[in-house]
Amino acid sequence: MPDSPRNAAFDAQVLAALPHVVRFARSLAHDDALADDLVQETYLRAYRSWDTFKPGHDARRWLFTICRNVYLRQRERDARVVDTSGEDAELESLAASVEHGAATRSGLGELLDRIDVAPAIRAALAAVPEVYRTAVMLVDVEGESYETAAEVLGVPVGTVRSRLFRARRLLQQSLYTHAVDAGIVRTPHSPEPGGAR
Amino acid sequence: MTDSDAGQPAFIACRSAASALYDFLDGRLPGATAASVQQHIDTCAECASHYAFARQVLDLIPVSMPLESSAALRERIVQSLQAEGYRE
Repeated sequence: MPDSPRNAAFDAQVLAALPHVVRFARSLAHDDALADDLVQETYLRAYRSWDTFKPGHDARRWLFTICRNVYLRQRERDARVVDTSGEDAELESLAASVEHGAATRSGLGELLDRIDVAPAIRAALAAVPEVYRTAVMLVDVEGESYETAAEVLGVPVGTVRSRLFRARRLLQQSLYTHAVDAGIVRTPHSPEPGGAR
Repeated sequence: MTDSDAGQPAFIACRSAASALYDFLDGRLPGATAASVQQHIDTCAECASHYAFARQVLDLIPVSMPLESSAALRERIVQSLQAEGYRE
């Protein structure tokens, strides 16, 4: 048993969230050893600033924020690699609408029944740039609201929305490419069986 | 997209439906707009297929990313915290 109320509260709220923080860190760092270091550093910082944590607040959200900040500092040089200046959900949606007709005609709807979907989604998500992937991790995996994700990421809610839109579209695109490469679905340019299109 | 007339959902085109995809699936559209999108996907097979696929992918994402628990990592973290004064 923890030997003080301070430690007991830390144990119940912060250490209990460890599996979620590990999953989040692995989505950021890709490499398990680096992710474990990231988690350890997150917990050290959380413990050192535990006195500043307001009782009743969401410890998991607090930990995600610390974890992401530690991660970004560790790779500061690469933090500007992805150009997010074109974050515009409307533009993304137009691109998606053009793609979706061809995709559905080529059998995309059956794709998920025909591939080993969990590894395919993990690989597809790993290939999505970090700024977009993090939005998916917070909203689609951890089940956080757009507002909480915005708080963790330090961006407006509209940016979370557009990042989610782009990430999900990239994810679908990647699954589609995976299926085409595996010969599971036809491309829009494949001939129809038995004749001209 | 426009609001409905006389309580009927407004007609929207495929492009608008595609634009509203994730807001609709995440339940973030106002009622009248959501009704218009619902009416569109009820009557457009291509958009219905697109929406169904997107819904499936969204449902599969959390299932594909199981929680990670590692006793060894927990022990390592507890040891590093103990150096800071933490006692289990």
